[in-house]
Amino acid sequence: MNNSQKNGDSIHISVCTGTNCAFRGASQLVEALRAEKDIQEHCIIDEMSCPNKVCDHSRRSPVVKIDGDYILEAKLEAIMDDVHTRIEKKREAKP
Amino acid sequence: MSEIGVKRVFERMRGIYTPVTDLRRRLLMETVRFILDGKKPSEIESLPFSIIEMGNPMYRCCSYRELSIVKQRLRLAFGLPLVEEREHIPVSSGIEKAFTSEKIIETPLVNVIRAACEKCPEDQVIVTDGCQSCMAHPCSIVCPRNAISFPEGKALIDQDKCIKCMKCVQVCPYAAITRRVRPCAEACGVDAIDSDEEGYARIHQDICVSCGLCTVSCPFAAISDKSEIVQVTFSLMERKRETTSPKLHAIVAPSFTGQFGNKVSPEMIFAGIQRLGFDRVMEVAYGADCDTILLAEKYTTKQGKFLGTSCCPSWVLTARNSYPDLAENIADSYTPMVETAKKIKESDVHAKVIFIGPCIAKKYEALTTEVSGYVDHVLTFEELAALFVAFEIDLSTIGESPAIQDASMLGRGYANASGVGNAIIRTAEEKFGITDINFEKADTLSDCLEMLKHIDKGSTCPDLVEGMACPGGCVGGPGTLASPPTAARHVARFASSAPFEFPVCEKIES
Repeated sequence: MNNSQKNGDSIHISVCTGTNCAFRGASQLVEALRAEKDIQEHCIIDEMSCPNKVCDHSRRSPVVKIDGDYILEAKLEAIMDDVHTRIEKKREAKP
Repeated sequence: MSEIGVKRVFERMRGIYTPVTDLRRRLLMETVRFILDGKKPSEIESLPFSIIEMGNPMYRCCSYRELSIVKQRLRLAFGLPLVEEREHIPVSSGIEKAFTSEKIIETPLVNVIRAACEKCPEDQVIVTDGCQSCMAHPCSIVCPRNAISFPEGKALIDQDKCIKCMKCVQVCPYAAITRRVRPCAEACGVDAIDSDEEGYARIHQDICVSCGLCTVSCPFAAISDKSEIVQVTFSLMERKRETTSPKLHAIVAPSFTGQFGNKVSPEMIFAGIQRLGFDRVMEVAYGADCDTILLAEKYTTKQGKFLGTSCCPSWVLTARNSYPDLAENIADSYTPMVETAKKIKESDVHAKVIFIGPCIAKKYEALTTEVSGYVDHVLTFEELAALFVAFEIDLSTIGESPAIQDASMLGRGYANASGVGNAIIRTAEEKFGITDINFEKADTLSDCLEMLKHIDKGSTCPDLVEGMACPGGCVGGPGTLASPPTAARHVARFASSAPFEFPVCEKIES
């Protein structure tokens, strides 16, 4: 299923893959998220470019946005955890 | 050992963004910012604090150890010889020598920072907690040296008797026996790493061929190479300030494609390098083309046993050290880096040439007397990325950029294992009608040595031999950012978009 076919209640993950964030591991982060089956099913993943002042010249990179919430200095372990928690919540919310 | 060889160790850590990677990159970036901000050598003591936070140790037992290690890493980042605190001289002594645009690095390029080395045990077969003291205990039955006993129920291996045959590892029904190796020593294909009297890892510099794979294999970031990033930054600042200073040429290795993410095209990378302040950016695949033509010609007049490729300096050194007779067959031509640099210097003698690649061995090559006149500095892709970040250049926002048309499809393929051999075979066929070339190749130095052993014994008789020190070829180099399989895909894609298929090697216009 590609991004456009997913319905409205997907979780929206944007990962900045601008040079500042890519330098601090954003590419590996996107690759790892895309490789997870559960995340593929429930999330829309796209790549964005964050402005320099958000990541403070890579000092606060990588920048990830999940359903509008910004996460700075995103670590893969924490992002995975966060996304899985959100998926779980959505599942519970459904009748 | 083939069971847990270089490839296995690399498959484990490569392509994962670990705190080791993070520390190395932040340190490079802060170093460049320090120089760009116009800081003086006397202010060097403040630099570690932009990398680590005192009182909040991230990597080690305490901040003071982190501080000591970071200071030593900074020396290497500045291109200076390692000074350890135990030598009782300030780690920053002589740092002002690095504040120049001249080449200052010297061998040895790859260094163990002993304060960071955790003295991990050397190669051992060990019994883990998984041992269930089982009734069958096949481990001791298959052991050919009677090295396994059960003093307290659980299996215990007598290390003096163990010959690491791995038989017990294979038969344990609980997978409770494992072989633990030292990652640095295991990554080293030429066995240059052992322990010193105190148990720290030690690199035998007379054996080391500067492939640099140990630097990305140590899980404690205890091995590091020297960088020229500071001197390149000074060169760029000088060029910006004084228009009369020498023109700066960046020559970029064929493995550059895909290093900055899927959205950044090769053309955008070139445009980004230009924005740093380089006058001209060129593909090293151009020099690869020149090399292919030379080698294909050489093949037609081949006298010895075989023709060996010469583009990987670590492979050439390894062959020369271990099989000097066979190494006579390795073509005496220069590497694509040198061919490209030479042609640039022919068109402008005053030009400064900076090679950017995945390779640490090229830093070594650029220091040799034959090459040092052509190549002024060497950077890795990782160091290039640090420059982009510090110079505030975001490649993903660079729009349409001019096409790159320096090299052929075959030249661009050099970055992947068997790419060099393929280029020579195809060119020899196209130009000289030679077919049926018996081709052999190996990547990683341990496999290269294995290949040479077979040729030496006469069990294989190839016509053309390609050696590469890094797994998968240059795309697996220690100075890369992208994971090797991703980079390999991008290399193939960029090669197929080349303006022509077969190599040409024309003069460079000034």
